Amino acid sequence: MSENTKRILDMLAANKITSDEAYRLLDALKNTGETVGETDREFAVPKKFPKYLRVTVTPGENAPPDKQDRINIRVPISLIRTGIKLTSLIPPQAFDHIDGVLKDKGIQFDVRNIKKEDLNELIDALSDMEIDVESGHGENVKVFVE
Amino acid sequence: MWPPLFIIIRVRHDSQGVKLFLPLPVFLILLPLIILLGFILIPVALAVTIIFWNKGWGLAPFKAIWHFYKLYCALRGLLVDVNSPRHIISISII
Repeated sequence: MSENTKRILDMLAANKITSDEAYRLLDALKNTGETVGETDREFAVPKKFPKYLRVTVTPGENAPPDKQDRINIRVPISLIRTGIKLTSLIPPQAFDHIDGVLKDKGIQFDVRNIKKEDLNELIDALSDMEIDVESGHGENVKVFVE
Repeated sequence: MWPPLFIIIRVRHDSQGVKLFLPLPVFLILLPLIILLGFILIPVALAVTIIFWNKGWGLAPFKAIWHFYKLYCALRGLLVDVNSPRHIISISII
């Protein structure tokens, strides 16, 4: 975040300026060529795009003999993306039918609201996901993205 | 976008096991047969397209061919490895 941007946000937080004024100031910054975070780009950590979803299960050191299973699963993220894109085969008429069935079950949800861009953003956000669980038997379950 | 080259399957139970190393391009041998079948089935495909056109499913089979090819290519890098003291199951697609 650049110094000027931080200053504007601090003034907004301190109620010295309104949100409209903050928006106009940020827009003016953009027009002068200084975008949010531009001056800090050299310090920015490059965003890593996830390639694989990994699930590993490793037994604990003191795990009983029947709990010595090791599981290692690696799923390419491109497989998940391509699977999601299969929904483009569904014609629009079918969505009406799906919405009707969901409404009959009491679920007020429009399937058309699920957009490919949102799902891509969700998958990109997975790069920061890490789940680490240690069970009572000492098994360690990790779900992460690399 | 390249399809996967090999699939390695390893299954072991106690002291008995099977390891299969299969080069996937070997299925390209079947490609002429698949193309021939495709040509033979074109009239059927067109009839199905016309029948289901109003319901919106008309072009779905043709689009599905490309999507399933992309899905097949996306399998590269898939690894499932289950290792227990008595069993080993490993599937790796490279």
